[in-house]
Amino acid sequence: MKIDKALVNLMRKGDESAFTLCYQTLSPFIYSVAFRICGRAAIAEEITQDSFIKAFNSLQQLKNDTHFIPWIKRIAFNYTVTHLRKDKESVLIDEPEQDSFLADEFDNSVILQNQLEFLLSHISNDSRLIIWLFIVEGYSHKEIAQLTNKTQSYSKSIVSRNLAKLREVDKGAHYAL
Amino acid sequence: MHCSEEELLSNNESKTKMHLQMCHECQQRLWQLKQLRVNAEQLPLYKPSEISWLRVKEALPKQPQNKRLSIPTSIAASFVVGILVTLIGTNFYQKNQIDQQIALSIDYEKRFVLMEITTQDMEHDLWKISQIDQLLNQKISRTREKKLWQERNQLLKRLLNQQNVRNEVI
Repeated sequence: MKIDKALVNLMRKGDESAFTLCYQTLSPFIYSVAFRICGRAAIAEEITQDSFIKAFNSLQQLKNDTHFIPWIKRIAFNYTVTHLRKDKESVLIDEPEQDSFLADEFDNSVILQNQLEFLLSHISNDSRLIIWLFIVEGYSHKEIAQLTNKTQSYSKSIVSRNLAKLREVDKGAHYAL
Repeated sequence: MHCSEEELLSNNESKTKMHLQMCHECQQRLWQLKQLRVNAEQLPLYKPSEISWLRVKEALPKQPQNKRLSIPTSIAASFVVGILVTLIGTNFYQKNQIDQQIALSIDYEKRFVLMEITTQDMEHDLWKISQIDQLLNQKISRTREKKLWQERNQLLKRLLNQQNVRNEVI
């Protein structure tokens, strides 16, 4: 995944082939992350479209051409947060969405194959976003707090709690084998 | 006290490094974090549908138009003036020629009426003149108007010649 300065420069000049190449290169990454966090293809598509439209139309706001990828990712995460918020408002819930580590649901082969996939499939959308931002994207808790409009301690607790549970499950899975 | 996940990932401070050397639990936690990052790279990629790209394409910023060829104002002005002079000149010349044809036509008609002789063989030419008159009453270009007046005058001239011949015979 690489978007060089020259390509960004061409996009700034309005070169359509540069936009096409950028979209073809990055859209699978943006879409896949959005899909993993939101869990719905339609929403992931919407996030992907909105992110690219916003990025392509506000290139003048990009200060450093070499930072295009983190910049568009940040846009995508902002849209993801908006969607998660909308989702919560539209669903009538009496209790907050819980992360469900139910032992009888575990498939040991999955956890041994890809722990991250296993973890993401057992937690709420909000927690997924925080876990992804912290572990995969390398965001600090301060940055996560700014993006999600929640406290740093909230994201810290989400990360440490879920990782601790994952370690327990992992031990169990190995023990079961 | 154990390191936080953030401290483990940054692993910058000497305090963290020292603690990591001694604490088996934190070593395991760091390994887990690194393992999860490796897992992220192994996750399959999905492609959005083609419609997504079409929607993005529709909203692409418009390509800035190329700079127009700049022509000095004086050249542009003289070019415009040149065209205007040509148009007005041509127009004036054509109008003058039409006026001349009309004057000639009036003169022919007067002479033709004064002779007071019409024969059957003149009928066709007279009919043609009436047709031309109808066309002249319509909105036509100056060039066409000039041609019609010329044709009309030729017909009148022929009629006059025919009358002259007849008078001589009589």
